[in-house]
Formats: sequence, C-alpha cells, structure tokens
Amino acid sequence: MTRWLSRAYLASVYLLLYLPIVVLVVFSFNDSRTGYAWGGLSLRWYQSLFNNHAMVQAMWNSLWLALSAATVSTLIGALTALALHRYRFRGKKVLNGMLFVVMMSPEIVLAISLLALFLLVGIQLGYVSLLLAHVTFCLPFVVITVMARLSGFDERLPEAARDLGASDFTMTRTVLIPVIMPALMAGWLLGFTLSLDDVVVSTFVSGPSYEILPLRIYSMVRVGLKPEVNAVGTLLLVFSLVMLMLSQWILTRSKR
Amino acid sequence: MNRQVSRLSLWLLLAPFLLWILLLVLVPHLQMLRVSFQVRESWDTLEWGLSQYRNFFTESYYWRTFVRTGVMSLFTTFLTLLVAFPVAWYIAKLARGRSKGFLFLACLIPFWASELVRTYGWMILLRESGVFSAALQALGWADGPVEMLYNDIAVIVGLVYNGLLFMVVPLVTTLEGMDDTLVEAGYDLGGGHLTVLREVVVPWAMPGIVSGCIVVFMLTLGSYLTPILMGGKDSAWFTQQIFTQFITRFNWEQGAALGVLLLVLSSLMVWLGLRLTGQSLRKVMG
Repeated sequence: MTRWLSRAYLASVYLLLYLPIVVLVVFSFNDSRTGYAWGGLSLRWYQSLFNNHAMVQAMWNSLWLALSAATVSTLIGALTALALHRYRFRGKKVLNGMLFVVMMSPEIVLAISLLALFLLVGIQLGYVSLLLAHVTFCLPFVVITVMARLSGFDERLPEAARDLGASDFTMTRTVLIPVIMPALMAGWLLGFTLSLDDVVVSTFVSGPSYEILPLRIYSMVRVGLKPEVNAVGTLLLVFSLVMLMLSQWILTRSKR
Repeated sequence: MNRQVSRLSLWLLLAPFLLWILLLVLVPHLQMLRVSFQVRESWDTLEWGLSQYRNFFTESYYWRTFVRTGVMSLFTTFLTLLVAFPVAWYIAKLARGRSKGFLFLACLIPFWASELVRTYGWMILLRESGVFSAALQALGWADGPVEMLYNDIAVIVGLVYNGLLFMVVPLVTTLEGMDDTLVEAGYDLGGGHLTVLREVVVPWAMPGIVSGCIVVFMLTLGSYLTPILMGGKDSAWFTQQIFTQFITRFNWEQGAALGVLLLVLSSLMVWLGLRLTGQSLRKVMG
C-alpha cells in the first residue's frame, strides 16, 4: 500500500515537472492559433519565425554573445580554478566564499549595480555592456564547474611526466591539457547556456543597438498569446539540451 | 620550484579574476551603496542623507511589498521542501540501480530549459484559454473558461516548480550518506513513522535541508520573471519595485536603496535561518 502510494506520488510530481515543457513543444507544432484546440500538425510557427528578419538577427546576436561570454569566462575561470586547485594561500577561503556570494545574490542587484556603472563610466549599452555583464554572472559558475572536475586530477601525473624527461611544454601539451580539457568544455557549455538563457540582467544592460533573443521572447510573452513563442521556446530548449548532453558526454567519455 | 616563482605564478593565474571581480562586482556594489545614501536636492545638487531608507519604512507600499515578498518566499521554500522531500527520499533510499540514476537525471532535465521557457509552459497550462481550463470544461467540472493565471497561487506554483531541483539535489546528497540501519534502529526501539522521521531522519538530513532552503529562498526572493509573468495586478514582487524605480521612474537613488535593502535583508534572513537551525554556512554549502 505505502509502496503504491509513494509510486503514485512520485509519478505525479514527475508528470508536473514535464507537463509545461511537453505542452510547449506539442503546441509549437499546432496549426491552430488558439491556445488549446488542436488544428493539425504544422510547421507554420517555425516558418513565420524564420521569416521574421528581426527575430533571426536577434538569434544570431544571442549566439554570438553567448559564444563570446562563455569563451571569456572560461579563459578567466580556468586560470582561477587552476590557482585555487594548486595553491594554498591566505585569502583562499575568502575567495571561495566570494564565489558563493556572487552566485547567490539576487540577479537584479547585480543588474542595477552594473547598469549604474556602465552609464557612469560611459560604456554604451549594447554588445560590450552585455558581454561584461554576462561574463560577470557566468564566472563563478564556470570556476566552480572547472574546479569540481579538477578535484579528481592526480597531481602526480605532471610530476611523473617531468621525471620521464618531458619538458614543461611537452608536459602541458600531453598531460595537462588533455586532463583539463573536459573540465574546460563543461565550464564553457554551462557559461554558454547561462548566457543564452538570461533575461533579468540583460533587461537592464542591453540597448536598442543589440537586440538579443531572450529579451525578444520576453517582450512577446508579456504582450500575450503568441504561437511563435512556442516555436522559439522549443528551439531554445532543444539547443540547451543538446549543449548540456554534449557536455555530459564529453565528461563521461573522458572519465574512462 | 622556487618560492618566489610560485608566488608570482599564483598571482598571474589569479589576476584576471581578481581584477574582474574588483571592477565589475565590488566597485559597482560600492557605487550602488553610495548612490543609495545620496539625496537629490535639485536636479544638480546631491547631498548625503537617509531619505531613501526613510521612504522605505514610512511609505507602506515599499515595506508591505517587501514583507509580502518575504512571507511568500518563506512559504514557497517550505512548500518546496514538502514536495521535494519524498522525491529525494525515494531517489536516495527506495530506488535501486538503474532506476535511481534514471530518476535523478529525469529530475534534472526540465531545468535545462530556461526559466522563461518553463514559465511560459505554465502560462499555457493555466491561462483562461489554456490546457487545464479546457480539460476542466471537457470533464464537465466547469461551465466556462477558468482563469487560473495571474494570481498568487499561480506565482507560488511557478516558484515551487523553479525551486524544486535546488531542493532535491542537496536532499538526495545528504540522505544517501545516511545509514539505513539508523532508521531500522529507530523502529526497533519502538518509534513510529513520525518519531523516526523527527528524531532520526530530519536531524541527519538537516545540512541538506538548510542548504536547499537557503538556495530556494534566495532564488525565490530575488526572482523576477515568474512573479511578473504569472502574478496578478496586486501581486507585486519586491524585485519589480526595483525595476520600476530604476527604469520607469529613473529614480536611481531610491532604486539603489531598495537593492541594498534586498541584499542586506536577504543575507540577514539566511543568517537567522542558520542560527535557528544551528548550522554553519561552511557545513551547509560544503
């Protein structure tokens, strides 16, 4: 009896977990314009999406922004994670704590403080301000992801390579990079998805010169029912899923 | 390796990060703090003062919204814990082998979608012309379209949904570390279900509970999209007021003060929660 009950409970929670997403995907292929009536299978919302020039432009802008934000934060994050992994130093705990503070503090506070800074310093709201802001909120996540992957790294490997006569360059190329590469990829992909999905920070620090996809979707959702939103939401979902599955795959493959 | 070289390479590795945090986190936050204490006397004169903070406490609209946001966030956090605990228990203790990994992964996947997409999914379900409304009518339980969106319950549903994963993961982690014989011993000593839960399971899972609650509480308190998109006209969230002050009214001083208050009061509540449950942040956050 209890076993049956607990299974029923679990099933209903998982049903509710998936329902909103399944509904979104299903209705993105619905030919009818109204909310719930099924009008047959169709790709018309995807078509109207790709015929919308501003929408396509926003997609490219978002992809480019996510690409650059993920790359910058992975470069900085990798160096930081290496430092935190390898060295013991005073202030290490403070630094670790700071990562958590930045990660946990409300996005909107970061957003307004950055907006005020950008306007004060005279940074135009657009690609540059978005990039700076996105790297800022991606950075702690990337550092922590890379660090978590590095914690399994055996410190004796580079030493062994050196003992076997490898130069620093050879050691880095043949030992260090292959080992940390999966960690970097995982960090990069996480940064990419975080940047691609962000609405709150972008709302504050974006300008009319550089329109990005999440903000465009957000303004469509605020106005009301738009079947195109289902289509673009589905695309975004599939994209994030593929990215994250890729990162998982890279990680599990490297563990073998 | 020589000590000085090692120092130098440490600094070189850390420099970009420290610089970034200094220029784009520390400086802007201090700047925000400064602005919040400045009072605009006329269009070009600023003076130091507390009037923005006074406004918060004297104008009931501000602090009422804040209290409302705080109370609803606490409620949401508690509800999330209630929903998540049995799920985590099942994953950690009842599921075996492949189904364990599968259930855990299945719990993660919905959160790979962005908050905006997830919230929009809920809007499709709950809106007047939406799926639930249609289902109720088809079943004959409702005569006409039912609007379930744009009220506080919808907001809480959305927020619990968004917080669920962040509660399940730490709970599963701590519960997995619990020895099953502890529970058996509890029963053998004559404890009922509730006694064992209260005296054995909850104390053991406390670090996970507190860590999940802190994350969910902070996420909920600072959330912006869900209350705006799913809430009604009178279900204002504190973050919306910050947006209004900053963007709509262009009153930076007031907006900055509200931002500082959000930061300070949320940290205070986390600290209070830790004290009350006797946990330390380091233990809770691993």
